[in-house]
Formats: sequence, C-alpha cells, structure tokens
Amino acid sequence: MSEPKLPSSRAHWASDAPIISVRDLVVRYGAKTVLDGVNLDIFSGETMVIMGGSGSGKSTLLRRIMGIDRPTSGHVFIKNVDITCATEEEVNDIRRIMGISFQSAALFNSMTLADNVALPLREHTNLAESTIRLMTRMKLSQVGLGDAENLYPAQLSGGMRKRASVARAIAMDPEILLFDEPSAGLDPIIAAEIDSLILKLKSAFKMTIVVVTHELASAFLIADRMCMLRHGKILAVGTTEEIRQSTHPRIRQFLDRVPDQAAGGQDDYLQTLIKIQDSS
Amino acid sequence: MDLNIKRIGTRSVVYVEGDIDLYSSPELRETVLDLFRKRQQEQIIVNLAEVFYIDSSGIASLVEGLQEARKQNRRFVLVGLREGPRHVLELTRLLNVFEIAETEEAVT
Repeated sequence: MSEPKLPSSRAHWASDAPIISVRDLVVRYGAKTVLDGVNLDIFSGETMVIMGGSGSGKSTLLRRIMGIDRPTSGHVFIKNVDITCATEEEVNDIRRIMGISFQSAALFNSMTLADNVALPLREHTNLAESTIRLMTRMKLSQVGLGDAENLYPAQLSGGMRKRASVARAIAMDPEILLFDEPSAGLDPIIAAEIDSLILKLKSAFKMTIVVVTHELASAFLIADRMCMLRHGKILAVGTTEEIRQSTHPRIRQFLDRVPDQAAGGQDDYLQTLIKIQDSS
Repeated sequence: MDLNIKRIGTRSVVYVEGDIDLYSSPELRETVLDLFRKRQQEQIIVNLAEVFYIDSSGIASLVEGLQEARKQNRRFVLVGLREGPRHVLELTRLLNVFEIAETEEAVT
C-alpha cells in the first residue's frame, strides 16, 4: 500500500486552512435547481452539521463532498484537491482519508458484520490479518456491537445495521468522517450513543466530521458550527450559539418547529401558484 | 515514524518518534513481536514520549505486543504516554489493560 499523495498529514494540516472548501456549487436535475451557488469552508478538526428541511439540498451537498456525483458547476476542494475534476487516482487517494456512513447503511448482505467492517482495511492497507481482526472488534465494540461480529446484516435490526455502518465508516480512523442522518431511525438511547461516539472520535482522532441531520438536539450537541440550507441556498453558517440566537425567520421557523403556513408559508404557496399560472 | 531500539541484556526499549498510523504501525508490530519471539527479550518498554498521534491500527499493534508478552509470561510496558495517545486508549477502553509508567526509570 502506498501512502496517499495528498498534501500534509493529519497532524500537520494547518488548522487555519479549510480542509473542505465548497465553491459556487450548483446542482441541477433538469429544470430543478437543487444547489444554487453554495459556498462553504470546513476546517480541520471541526464538526460541521448541515441542517435544513426535506428537499433543502443537504444530502445533495454531502454527496458532492463525498465525490459521488459531479456537480453541474462549481468546485469542491478536499485538502486543496478539486474533486470535481480530479483524476481517478486522486479521487481514490481522497476516499482513503474519508469514512462515509450512508443513511441506508449500505452493508454487504453476504458478509458478516466483522467482514463488512474489515473490508476497507483489507482493501486499502497492508495490515496483518490479526491486526485487522483486533481493529474490527474494537470498532464494533465502540458502536455497541461487540458481540455481533459473526452475524449477517439480515439478522440485525435497522438500528444495529446503522451502527454497523458507522463501525465500517470509522474502520480506518479517517481524517474526514461524513455522516448522512446518523440518528435517523434509531431509538433515543442508541442515537445518544452515536452522538457520544462522534464527540469522542473527534477528540481522540482529531477527525473533521460533517453530519447531515435534521435532529435538532443531536445537532446542537455535536456541532462546532452549523450550516442551514433552504431551497439549495445557504441561509446561515455559524457556531451553535450564533445559530441558536439567529433572528432569521426561516431559521427560527426550523428551530422552533413552526409549521409552514404559520410561518408565512402562504407567500411561497402564492409564488408557486403564480409560477404555475405564468407557465400555462 | 522512526523506531530506535536500545537493548540492555534481556530488556529492550523501543523509542518511537512520529505518527503511528495505518502506514507505520506494521513496522512497530513486527519490531515488538520480533523482540519477543526472535530476541527472547524478557521485558519490552515502548517509549511513546515522541508520539503525538496513534490510530486504531497502532493500538491494535500494541495489543498484539501485549498478547505475545502474556503468552510468553513476559513484560510489556508503555511509557511517556502523551495526551493524544492516552485519549485513544481511553476511547478503545484499553487504558487499564496495559502496564503504563511515566518514565523508563519508573519501570523496575
């Protein structure tokens, strides 16, 4: 295994330079604009929580940071490498420093949990099998699945699959950890354990963590900074306290859990009706 | 990561300098296991005073050293643990599993 050809190791990446930088990002699906000129800097060692309602573009933004899909225009720099136009080799190098936990767990059904977690270690490292087995047990224990290593995904509850997905995401102690809705579908106790794990990982491994969620309690607990998205645009980026104190009506609506009509959603509704009328 | 070994009789001190991560941990593992298996060392001290970052593969490598020591009824001690590595050992719930000393001199 060769070391990734990325500039600077984790220990030496300057904390004042963004490790992830999103510039003028636009994503369109046909006539629908999902991300509309997003700019966002995420710094080494911080936990950035991306929030917004359904359809706000938060998962789309995360997928572009993951380098899964190309944007319509704009750039995503990871450690100064633009992954929107990077070579396959560069993207592979970047993927090695990223751990990804998808909303849908995305485990291999034909493999045991241990083999699912060990997969990235076997694929990307030259570690001895005995070392990999130890690491796999450590990771499964960290997510509370220490006694489930020989089970298959089909034998697990949804919450256990989600935790297994987290264990696989952290298998290589990635420099950048990306979570899509880590607490969705989990009972409150297990969700709190995942929050606690995120805090510990950040502190112990100096990870940069990006979390997409709409779970407010979790977001305010784990975030250093938050980014609020609405209709593909960033409403605000700030510390948890800055967001908590925000007077922006849409942010207040989201934080105070006010239904759309009560928050003046009629204007949006009227605009939609007018648009429909104009186009007919 | 750089490794330097000082051997005095059946006691070896492994001085580690730099990050112990996915790329460097196999060398540390091999070194420690060789000292026990081939050099028949009774006591191995791993001096981590110059290590500011260790990942899970590094911790797993140390666990393998400890396993080997226990199997052969020998001694395996970590010294000079800095805050970062100590934190990782806490996270992995292994801090109390290892024999840990502040300095080499404190290891009798």
